[in-house]
Amino acid sequence: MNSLDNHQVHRLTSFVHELKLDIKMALREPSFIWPTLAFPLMFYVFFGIVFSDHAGQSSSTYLMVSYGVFGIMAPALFGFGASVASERDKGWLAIKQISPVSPWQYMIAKLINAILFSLIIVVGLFILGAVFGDVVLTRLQWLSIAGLMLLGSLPFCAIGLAIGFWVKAKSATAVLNLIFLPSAFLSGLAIPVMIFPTWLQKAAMMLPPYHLSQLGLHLVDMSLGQPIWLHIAFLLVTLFIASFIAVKGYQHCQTN
Amino acid sequence: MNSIIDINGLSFQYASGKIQHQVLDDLSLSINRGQIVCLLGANGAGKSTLINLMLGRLKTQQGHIEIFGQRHTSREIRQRLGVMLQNAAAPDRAKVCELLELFRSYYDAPLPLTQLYHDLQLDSIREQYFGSLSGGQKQLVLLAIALCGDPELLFLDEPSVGMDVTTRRVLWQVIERYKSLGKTIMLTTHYLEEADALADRVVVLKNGKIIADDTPQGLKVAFSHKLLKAKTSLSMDVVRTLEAVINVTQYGRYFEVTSTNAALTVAKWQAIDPHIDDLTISNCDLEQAFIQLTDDHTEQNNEEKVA
Repeated sequence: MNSLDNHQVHRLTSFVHELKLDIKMALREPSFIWPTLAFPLMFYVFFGIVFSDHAGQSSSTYLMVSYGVFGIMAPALFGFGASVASERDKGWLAIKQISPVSPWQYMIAKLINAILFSLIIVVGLFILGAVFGDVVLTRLQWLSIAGLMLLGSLPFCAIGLAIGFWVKAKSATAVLNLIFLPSAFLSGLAIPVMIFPTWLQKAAMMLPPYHLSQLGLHLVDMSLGQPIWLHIAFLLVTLFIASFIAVKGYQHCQTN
Repeated sequence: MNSIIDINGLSFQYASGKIQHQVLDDLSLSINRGQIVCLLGANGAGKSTLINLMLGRLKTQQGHIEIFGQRHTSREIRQRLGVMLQNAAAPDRAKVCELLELFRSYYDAPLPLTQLYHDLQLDSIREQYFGSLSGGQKQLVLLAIALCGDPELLFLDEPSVGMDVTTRRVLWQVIERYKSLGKTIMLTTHYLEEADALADRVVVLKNGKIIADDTPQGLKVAFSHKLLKAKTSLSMDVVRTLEAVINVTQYGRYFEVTSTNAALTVAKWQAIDPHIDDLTISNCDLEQAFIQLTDDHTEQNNEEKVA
């Protein structure tokens, strides 16, 4: 029993080392940290607070949720995708794969790292919304939105991971931007999807950020009224497919 | 049983479109505990493929490999291995001390940090970012990572690439120290003097086959040809036709000639060119033995194909 405890403590210590180093390395990458943290907050200040002054509380609430989705996508996609692709190209992933450490340790550390960055963005948006955007929500609504955003980052982490394992480091950022920006805008994160032409609204329904934002907006009674199960199912399918591609990618890296 | 690695009938081929390239061909090898084995071979000879197969980074297609008596490199087996891969690097924004602390945490009985810093002379760079290090320092950090778990079996795939004289000396000292502790080391290198200085056993690969397996001294004796160096006004074609000459390299007027009978070659050379200058005769080193060995094997293969 004692030796089992020691073993568990050893594995936990190793995990803490892994997580600490991953967070430190992300913080030491200014080209990652500033755009990731600053863009969603900056966009929200401009479009959710300054320019929507006349539109009132509903606009700042809507955009707080939609920019929340926009905000959590970046650390999930780039934190995972670009960093895994870079570490894979350098051979760092190969060094880890032949070490005794479980691959889960590496991936879970990156996942928690992405979720921590997402949390900072979500809390930042909440503070801006509550203080400057006159957003008024119940405690349960604040907590539900925060929980949803953090949980909702999982499919995007899986997409990032899949790209990180399959795409070369040099192309990874470009590929991720190609996914991130169009899917964010087409999902109605910057401009409400209701004002899109009908065909574009249909296209939005094929994108994961749309479904996550609709779940968030449902919590503040601003969704388009589609069934919740549809959004949850779409995000779960995305998570499953992207995770499957990521696992295949990991196995591919291990033997290539 | 003293054997730590057993390879039997190992074949491997890469497929590129419709073209199949045979990298390893029915290769068998056994390595005992405490040996330092150097894999030698030209680029594409199959050295790295063999290492990657041993580490489980490539799937075996034919034949089998056993390390510590097991066919799969499980987590328990990896606890006993240390690996320094060719062309691998750590993230630029990680400090040396952070990388070593992280890797030490992967092992049940790691080496103390102070020992790693001391043995690999990393004390002065422990707080530096990996990305800010020189090529040689990076290689030493990667070697320290490989040594973190105090491995019984160490794989070093071209460890001295990018190292200057000082860092290479540190590498050699570490390898010699490990050798004295009875550890097993599998080394690939392009530097033949490194193999000569460090290895107990040299395994030469060519076209995926083992063409020689001996001590460095044994290889040199087996290919105990003489190396003649001299300045001459003769052309390359004429020097090639001298008696007992098997290999010629020209640097302007300066020639390096490998001969199976130095006295005969010199006599004929002087007869054609009485003004031959700066003549020296020496025994072949491992490099010349290696060149002759791989050349001889090519010729032998060509003859077999013609026959």
